[in-house]
Amino acid sequence: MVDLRILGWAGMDQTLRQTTDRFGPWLTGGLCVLLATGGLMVIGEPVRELVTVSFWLKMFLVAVGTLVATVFRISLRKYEKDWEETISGRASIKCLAVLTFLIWVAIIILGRLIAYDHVWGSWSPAQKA
Amino acid sequence: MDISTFLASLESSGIATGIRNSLYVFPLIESTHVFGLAMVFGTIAIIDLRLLGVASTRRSFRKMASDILKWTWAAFAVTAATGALMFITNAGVYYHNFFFRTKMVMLALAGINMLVFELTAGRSIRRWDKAPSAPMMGRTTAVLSLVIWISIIFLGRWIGFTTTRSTIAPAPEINFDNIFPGTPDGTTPVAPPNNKR
Repeated sequence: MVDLRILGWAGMDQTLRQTTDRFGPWLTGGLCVLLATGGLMVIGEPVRELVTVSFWLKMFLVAVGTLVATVFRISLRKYEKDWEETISGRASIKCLAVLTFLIWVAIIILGRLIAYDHVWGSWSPAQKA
Repeated sequence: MDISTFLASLESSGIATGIRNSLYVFPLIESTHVFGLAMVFGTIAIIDLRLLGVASTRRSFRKMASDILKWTWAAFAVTAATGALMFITNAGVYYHNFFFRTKMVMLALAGINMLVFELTAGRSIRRWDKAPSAPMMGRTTAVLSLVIWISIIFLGRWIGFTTTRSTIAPAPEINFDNIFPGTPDGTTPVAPPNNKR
């Protein structure tokens, strides 16, 4: 929803700050639930998870996605006026919104691919084990 | 034509065979399904929480609904289409699977619940559009909607745990190495994929 708001495709009756304040806590909460249940699954079947390309690529992207989101929220708080008036209109920021959206889509796909790591062929360490 | 003949004809269709024979297509369809359902559930939850007066309470309900529900429907179309594709690859097994059947019932209930909302609280939107929460029937259907959709997610996951693809293991030579030759170590992996999901 935040990406859609930056792109101007949804929630245009709300300011950017209103949008992030509305969804931010839910995003953080959701991320915590995912990290906790994800952690439990890794403890449950460490070999199946840790010996896959998809898992590590996914963890890398989760870190990147979270970092971008955090930097965005801090920057928005600091330069709120600029964000509302000019920054969110910049093409580069719109590209970044699309990019972060794609990062989270890739995370979903990679998460599913953990169970199918063989698609990576010999790139997957599981194939060598 | 009875149902098992119909299911068998779905399974033997060109598209179902194509999906089964590819190493990549099923996982990618599944991922798209997960992406779609995240979007469906997320946007529905935003609306339900607004009805309950938990979140977005200062925003007009009608404005939110027109803003958000188009994304819900688009994502639902993606999820339904990918779900149908997965179904035809192994129609006979899914059709008899308890979790699949229960999930379909829950989807129907979600639709009925939506109708109930439209016929009750939905009719008086003008009166509570700007109020922080919906009237009793609106709140009830919102809770039901959340419960139903969460159960749909669980049931869907359990279909994967209780069915296995009735496929011949895909030929081991179809993999990343053959698409991009000369990748590390270059040997053709021999282990057939395990079908665990």
